[in-house]
Amino acid sequence: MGSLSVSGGGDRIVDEEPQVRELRLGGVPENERVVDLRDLGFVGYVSDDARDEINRSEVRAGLVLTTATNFAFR
Amino acid sequence: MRLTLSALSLGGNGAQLLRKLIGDNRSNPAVDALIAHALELGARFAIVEDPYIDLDYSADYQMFYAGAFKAYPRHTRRLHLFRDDVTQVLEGDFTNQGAALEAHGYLGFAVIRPIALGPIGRTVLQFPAPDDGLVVRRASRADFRVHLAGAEMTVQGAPYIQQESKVGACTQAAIWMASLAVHTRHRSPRFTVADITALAVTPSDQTLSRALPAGSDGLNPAHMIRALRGMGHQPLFDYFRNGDSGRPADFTASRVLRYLDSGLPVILLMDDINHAVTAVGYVETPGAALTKGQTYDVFARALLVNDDQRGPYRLLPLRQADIEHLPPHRLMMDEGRVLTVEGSVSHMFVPLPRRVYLSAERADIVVGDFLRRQAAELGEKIPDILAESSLEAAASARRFYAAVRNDNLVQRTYLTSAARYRHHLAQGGLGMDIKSQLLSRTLPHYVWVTEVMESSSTLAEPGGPRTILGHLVVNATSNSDPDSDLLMAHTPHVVIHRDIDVADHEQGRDFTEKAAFFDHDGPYPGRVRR
Repeated sequence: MGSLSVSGGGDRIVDEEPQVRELRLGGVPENERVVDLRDLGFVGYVSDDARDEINRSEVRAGLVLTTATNFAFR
Repeated sequence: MRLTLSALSLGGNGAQLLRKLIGDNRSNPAVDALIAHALELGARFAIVEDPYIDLDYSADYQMFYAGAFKAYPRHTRRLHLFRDDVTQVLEGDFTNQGAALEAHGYLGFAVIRPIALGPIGRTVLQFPAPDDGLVVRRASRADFRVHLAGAEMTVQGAPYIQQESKVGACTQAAIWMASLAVHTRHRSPRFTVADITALAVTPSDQTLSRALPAGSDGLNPAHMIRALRGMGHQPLFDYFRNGDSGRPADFTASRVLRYLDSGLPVILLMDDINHAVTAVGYVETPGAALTKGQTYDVFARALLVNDDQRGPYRLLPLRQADIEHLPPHRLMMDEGRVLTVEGSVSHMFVPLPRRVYLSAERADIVVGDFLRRQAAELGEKIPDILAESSLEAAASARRFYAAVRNDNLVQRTYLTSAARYRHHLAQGGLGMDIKSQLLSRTLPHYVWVTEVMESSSTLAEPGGPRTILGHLVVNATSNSDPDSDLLMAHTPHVVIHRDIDVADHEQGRDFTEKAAFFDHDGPYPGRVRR
């Protein structure tokens, strides 16, 4: 494979040019059918409707604190 | 002091014997429910360990009873429940006694406090077995190691405790039940009820000081958040009443279920009865969706709840229509009416891990939005690309986008670690090429995973997972711009990877988004926590 093994002293053998190879997970070759979604005209920004829904959700959760003085749970 | 073990055969009068032992024959709904649950699990034999030095009662004792004029006992007793007689095992050889005891059907234990009004201390009993064809999902569960003399046993369950009114109320009991499960499972710090009260009442205020000792007459939501934060959790909270009308919200169950599906306990408040309980699991149908909707609660009938006043493993139906399908003896009742999630649950608190900064709701909204935009903008282009090599793949993708557009898909969102996500992915039913694509991406420590399935999806096997069409992964450790939340998406024949660390501002890019296409793909089992 092209590497040279030399004596490292005693019984040890060390690789002078160790071979490094990137492994393919699962032995599966790189998928070549890859497309940048921008090339299809798509950018996955979160829509304004979804942002509004996130805000509404956070505001409603915050109402917990307005109820803080109303109840004592026992 | 000598340790004594007493054997108790629970024959025909098992319930009577246990009621005398635990509740001194006083009427107590929690004691009755605990006994009924134990007998339903098949308990036919009990061992009473006396005395038992219990950490939680010792803390209560130190906080209140040690200073009382009346002399309260310092120690407790502990009841161990078995399916079979274990006399011979305990009177036999000490080696391997633990395994032998477990082989006789160890069902769990209950600490019995010397307090007449609240005798049930730290208790862990097995979850109820599936009933009437329903499936019990054990969310807030942990494996508790139990030592009886020299024997070590393990029981899996959700911790339960009755409130001890001198030291805390239902709120502290509910927080304790949630936190002990998290402590046992995730090795977070351990807190007694006395510790929880001390955290909640510091600094004190006029509400707390109305009762003596302070905090013993209940806590309000602000006190609970303070206690949870002091315990090292990221206290997530939500409110389920609509604005000024105070009417129940229709999305309560979906919000609770996402955290239960994450293996986290959920503390629930019911403002109509001023009470707190801990949801530790839920019950679902093995069949298709029971109602219309796009969140996983469409498959569920009830939450499984530990209620310090009503007992362990009670059922809180999601909707009125679910009541008749549930075993009546486990239903949560108040003054003759059955309580439901849609009618009674007003607040929720979740002890999230410290590094989780994104709520399940936001993850679910981001995923739903992404799928709708994909279907609207790429619902034709992606199938056209797939059609270049497989008409079948193109048709499958088209069906998926049509289902998204028609709101026919259900989202199930849960929190997990990247390591557990990868483990389940590797073991799961996806093709090697798709697994390889998903496994080769870096992820944060915690992620929200949203599984996408049809509402007609049924359980693949009894108690098993549902069949899903795809799943999406959201970063749970960030709470900045929602555009950076989604990390990966697998939809039929397509894997999309968003790289949020390669911003190219000159090109106006905050992230890159690439799709890889696969000819061979199909439905696969979702994840189930066993």
